[in-house]
Amino acid sequence: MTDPEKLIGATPLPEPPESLNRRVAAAMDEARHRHGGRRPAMVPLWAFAAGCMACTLIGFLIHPLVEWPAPPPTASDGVGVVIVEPLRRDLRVLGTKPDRKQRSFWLEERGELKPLVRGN
Amino acid sequence: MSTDFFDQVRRCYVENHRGLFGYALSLTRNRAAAEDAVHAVICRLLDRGTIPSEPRPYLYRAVRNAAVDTWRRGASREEPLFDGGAGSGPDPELRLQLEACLFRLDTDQREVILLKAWQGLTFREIGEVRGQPANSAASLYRRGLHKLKALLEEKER
Repeated sequence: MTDPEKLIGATPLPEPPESLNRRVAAAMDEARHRHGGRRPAMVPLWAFAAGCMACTLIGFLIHPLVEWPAPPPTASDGVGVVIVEPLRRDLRVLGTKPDRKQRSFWLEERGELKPLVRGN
Repeated sequence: MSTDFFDQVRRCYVENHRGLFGYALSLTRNRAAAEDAVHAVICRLLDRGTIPSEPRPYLYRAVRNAAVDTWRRGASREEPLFDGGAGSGPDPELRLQLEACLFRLDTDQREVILLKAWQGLTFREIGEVRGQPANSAASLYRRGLHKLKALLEEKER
């Protein structure tokens, strides 16, 4: 009498078609190509933190060297009137204190502050 | 994904491709459908990006799912299961008898018998593949084998 267990065990497994091997090889090549064979490089968080701290420190060190633009003088800065003739009717002298950088006067023209340059 | 991963996938395929193909063939009874099922499983493993801790039950379970999908789409021409490896194993006539008897068994019993006796999976692995306890797989195997023996004896007479 035949033992079915032994009979099945002795039966060889079927040989897969060659096309399956080719398809699997192609799928693996495609996957390898898609992923470039390695993980994408990632910048660690500590590098971001170190970069931020370095920029802050450099900014703090160089800030006295930077010539910041002086704010325009306001009416409260003006002491004494030196401009004899009003240049135009719609111009109003705000003050006589010259801008330290520009050596010019600031006027208000139609609600807008403008520097008064020589020759105007 | 590292090169190591692709080497592991290749190793998984080389070690299991005959078993997986045989299992898929036993479920679909069609070589083209079985080939599609195994191919789909390897593609899924590549997309997954990691090798499971126990690759064999994972691969067999995935082949089972893929084969069931193929079967649901509509059965195609049925092809013989035990036709490979001419010159080794039982003689062709006995193989045909065995195959005929196997396909007279209940589907679950046949599947478990083939996974155990043909593919060499353990009952624990079969349980993982089929989503059932190992004892249930063992019980199906014993009952199926008993019935198969009776069918073969009937043919011999």
